[in-house]
Amino acid sequence: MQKSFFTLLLILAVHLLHGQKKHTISGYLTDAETGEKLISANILDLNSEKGTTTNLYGFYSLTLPEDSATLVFSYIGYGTVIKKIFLHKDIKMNIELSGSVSLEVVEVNAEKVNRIEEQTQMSKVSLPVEQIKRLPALLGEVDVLKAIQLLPGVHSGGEGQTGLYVRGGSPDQNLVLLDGVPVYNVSHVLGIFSVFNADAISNISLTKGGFPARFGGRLSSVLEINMKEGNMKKMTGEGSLGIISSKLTLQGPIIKDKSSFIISGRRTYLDVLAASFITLANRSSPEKVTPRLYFYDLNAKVNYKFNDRHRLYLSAYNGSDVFKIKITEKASKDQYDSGLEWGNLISALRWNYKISNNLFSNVTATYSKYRLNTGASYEEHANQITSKFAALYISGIQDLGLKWDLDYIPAPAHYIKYGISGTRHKYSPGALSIKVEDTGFNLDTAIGSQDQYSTEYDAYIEDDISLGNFKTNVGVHYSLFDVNGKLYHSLQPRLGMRYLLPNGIALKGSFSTMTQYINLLTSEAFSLPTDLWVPSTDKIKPQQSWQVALGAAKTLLDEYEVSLEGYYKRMKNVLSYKPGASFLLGLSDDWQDKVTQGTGLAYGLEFLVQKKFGKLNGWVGYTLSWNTRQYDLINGGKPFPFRYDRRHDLSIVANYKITDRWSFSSAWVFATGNAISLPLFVYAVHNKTLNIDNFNFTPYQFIDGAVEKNSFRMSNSHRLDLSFSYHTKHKKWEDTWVIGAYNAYWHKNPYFVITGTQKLSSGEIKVVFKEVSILPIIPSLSYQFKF
Amino acid sequence: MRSYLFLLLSLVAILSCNENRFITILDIESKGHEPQLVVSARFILHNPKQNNQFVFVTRSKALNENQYITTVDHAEVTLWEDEDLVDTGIWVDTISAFPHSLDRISGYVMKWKDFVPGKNYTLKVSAPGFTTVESTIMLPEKSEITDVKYNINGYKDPSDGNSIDEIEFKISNINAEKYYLTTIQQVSIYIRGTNRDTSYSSLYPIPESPLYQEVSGNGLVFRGEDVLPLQGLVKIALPFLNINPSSSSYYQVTLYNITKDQYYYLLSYEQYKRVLGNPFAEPVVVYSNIKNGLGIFSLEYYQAFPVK
Repeated sequence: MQKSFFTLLLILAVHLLHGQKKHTISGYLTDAETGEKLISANILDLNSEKGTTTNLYGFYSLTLPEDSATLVFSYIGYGTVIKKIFLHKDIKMNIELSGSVSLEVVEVNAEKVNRIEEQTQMSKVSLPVEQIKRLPALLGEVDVLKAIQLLPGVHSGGEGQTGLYVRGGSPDQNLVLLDGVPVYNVSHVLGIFSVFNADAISNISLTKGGFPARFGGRLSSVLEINMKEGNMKKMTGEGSLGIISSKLTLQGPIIKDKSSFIISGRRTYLDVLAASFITLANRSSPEKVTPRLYFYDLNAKVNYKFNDRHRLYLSAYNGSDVFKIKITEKASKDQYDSGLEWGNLISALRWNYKISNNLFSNVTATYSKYRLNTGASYEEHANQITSKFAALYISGIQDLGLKWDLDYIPAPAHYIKYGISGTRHKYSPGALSIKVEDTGFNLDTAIGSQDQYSTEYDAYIEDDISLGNFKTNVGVHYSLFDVNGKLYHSLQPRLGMRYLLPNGIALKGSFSTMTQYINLLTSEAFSLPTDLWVPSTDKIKPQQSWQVALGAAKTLLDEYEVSLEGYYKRMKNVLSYKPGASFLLGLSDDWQDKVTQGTGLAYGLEFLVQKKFGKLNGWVGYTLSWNTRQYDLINGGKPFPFRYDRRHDLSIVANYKITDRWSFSSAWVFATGNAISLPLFVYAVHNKTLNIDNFNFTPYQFIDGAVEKNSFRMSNSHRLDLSFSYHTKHKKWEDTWVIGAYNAYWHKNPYFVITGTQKLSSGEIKVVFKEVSILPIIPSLSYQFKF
Repeated sequence: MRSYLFLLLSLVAILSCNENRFITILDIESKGHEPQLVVSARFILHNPKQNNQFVFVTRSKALNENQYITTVDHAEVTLWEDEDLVDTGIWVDTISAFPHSLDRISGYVMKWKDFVPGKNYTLKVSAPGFTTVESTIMLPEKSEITDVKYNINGYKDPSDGNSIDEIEFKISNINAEKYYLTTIQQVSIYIRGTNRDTSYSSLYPIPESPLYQEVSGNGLVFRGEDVLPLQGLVKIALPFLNINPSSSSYYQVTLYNITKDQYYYLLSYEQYKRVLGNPFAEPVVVYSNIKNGLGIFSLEYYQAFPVK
């Protein structure tokens, strides 16, 4: 297999050397108003019908034979620019596209290059940020991850949650990159909001399979989120005031057309609102309760363009959740303080270097840190003596990385990407620190696992090759992982293919293998910030997967992208807590003894019809899927449905511009209920089978248990979210009022199941199970402004 | 248009202000439980204290069913060797299942003794009103204890550095596919006049390898592959609290050649017990090898080896 890949790469290299006299047109595509790069914009020569797209930095390079060329530069939502040239030498051409053409009225022309049937890459979806910002949102807070959940192949963990379960994978199997830096914790408020502030984001794309070789390190998906760079032309701002949060983004030039910045902040103020209610409620109480319940995000980025060849970016994100409460006895001043605090700190320093007209380099130094502190402290004052008790549980992960990526575009038929990277990981998989100060007794101790370190090295090469109606992306990713002297390595071949039928339908296929060296120890039932990131070790083998996908895609009526894909994915060495294990149990135990490894199988069909622009835009996505896990030590070694095994998942999303001022947005979702284990019944087994002595009071032991793990299905869930926007343009600024309702027809969607009792009319008490729904209809109102 | 919108949104706001609706509870009683037959059949072969094998049959009940668990006394219990019927259980009410215990329980007695390693044995149980259940297992080849040693202060407890006594023994005929349960008992002999009485007290063994896992009945279970690298050598330390064997008492190591099903069953029950009432722990399902039903059918060899 590996041999064949190298042979193919060699043939391709030989093919590259053979050609006639050619010249290269290269440059950048940017927004005329802001100077913002345009990612995946199209460049097409109408004469030769050869084309290309811009990369993540807005750079393009198109090599054509010496001849006249009619170049069409286009991007969704922007006016098209056409340039007629005679190509007799290499040309640098930076193009600015005007964004004055809105999403609703853009005409479709010259979009051929980046149409779904033209792309070799399958299983990839991108959503315009403007479309995401129009979607109805829980409490009016637009959330990019919740928008991603509405796409086929992606499930949410539960209603209102931001966790992504992609093609049968778990959330730790998603590589979430913010400006190329891995983000370890993507949610705020126990998963209700994501850490990504839509106002600071320029581009989002999700790859679910058919991974190009440049990606590695996770089994299930790659979510790329790019921050805006900052307006190069003028100072602008935007923001919103909502029920629970507000945000403000400012951007502008530092040196016009040379350097710019963007800074964006968001904070919730539930604690501020709650404080007055709590004070009022506790007026006569002997205790004073002070809540601290909020999260904040701060995104910042500066960039400096030295010249057309060199550009430097520095970006940072800092976000944190505080979930604490302090109770003070008014009389004694005794204090009880407890809660959680967690957050990410992310930073990237990037250097773009255009080495030649068809060779583009990007060097990135990255830093990512996720930390969690959870603790409780108690301070007691009695007889002028103060006693203190404090317990603090700390965990986290820290990455320091360096990578070098190169884009080489020797001809329209080839787009070669290659690169190397190295990342040093530091894991703090949970430690408990206890401090006690009392009369005659002092204790200061730490229990728990020691910090661990590992280093990961990656190298890749891939080529996107066009051969008439046939296109292929072929590549290989190699990774090396060094942990405590144990060395793992993995060679991962990748292949994507597309064949365009005469009727315009593209048939696509892909095969990819992935290896994942870092793992998240999480309860299957619910994800908490206390979940631990841990490395593969000599005891814990790396997770691995292979996936094949087949599909067809076509753009209908120039507006509707239609795709149908089937996938089959096998995973091995996937991690789970052993039955009965818990991060709270046995802190002094090694985490490696609490987990077990097994296999996973996921397969299904995904259907998507997407209309990205026009007065009415949106999509319909449907997934039919199966998803199981098998562990020797769980469920007696028998396969069982994964908790998020969803047979059916349907999303219908529509944005409609009613008038210039009014617009309407709606999203309807339906999902099969989660698979859970419930103690549905009681039975008894004889002591003898358990080797229990016979002089017990009862010869039987009673067991409340389900037949098989995850054998019970919660009820299906569905809901409709609506929002109306009223937009006003003023001379120097614009504003929008957004009023909406989450779960508009108030369907009681199950969140979790509890056991309870019910009194019958006969007076008899019986045990019942109850599905608890916690998100009723939730209205929202927000005010957005832009200047 | 605007007035409709205003009305709609006002309605939404009023409805959502109803505090009681923020948490709604849906009764899912309708997805209840159909009672199933529960089989407890542990056939211990070569146990001199037990001439017959017993099959105990009960029924499961839904959590909301206000009934006691009762034995099923009208079942048909049959034992099959490969395709041949070899025995039928005889219902015995209030039998003395174990001569030396206070236990009095009703069940089905099986008299078949000619079990052959490598053959498949199927236990079928049917009763009116229940789905017929069955379980098939293959009797493994027997492994035996050899070379038992008692090492005084043979084990150094890593937690406190103290040395304690240990028992080590070797298991013959071992392979990776086998599973074992072992217990250590203190056997005391009392002579009162002309009466001689023997009592057995199970000791809490301290596993010297993390591969041996503690289960109910003070037992340790392990797999053949766990002890294969040591050529079947097993070391078990004894806690301090044990009374030193005297002339009238001694230790006894017992080895059961259990099936893979029994191994999972014992482990899962232990895990189940450990996390009862802990909402943060992963849920545990007690393993069963009874098709269409619950419980366990196991066939295992028994060997008790005195350590004097």
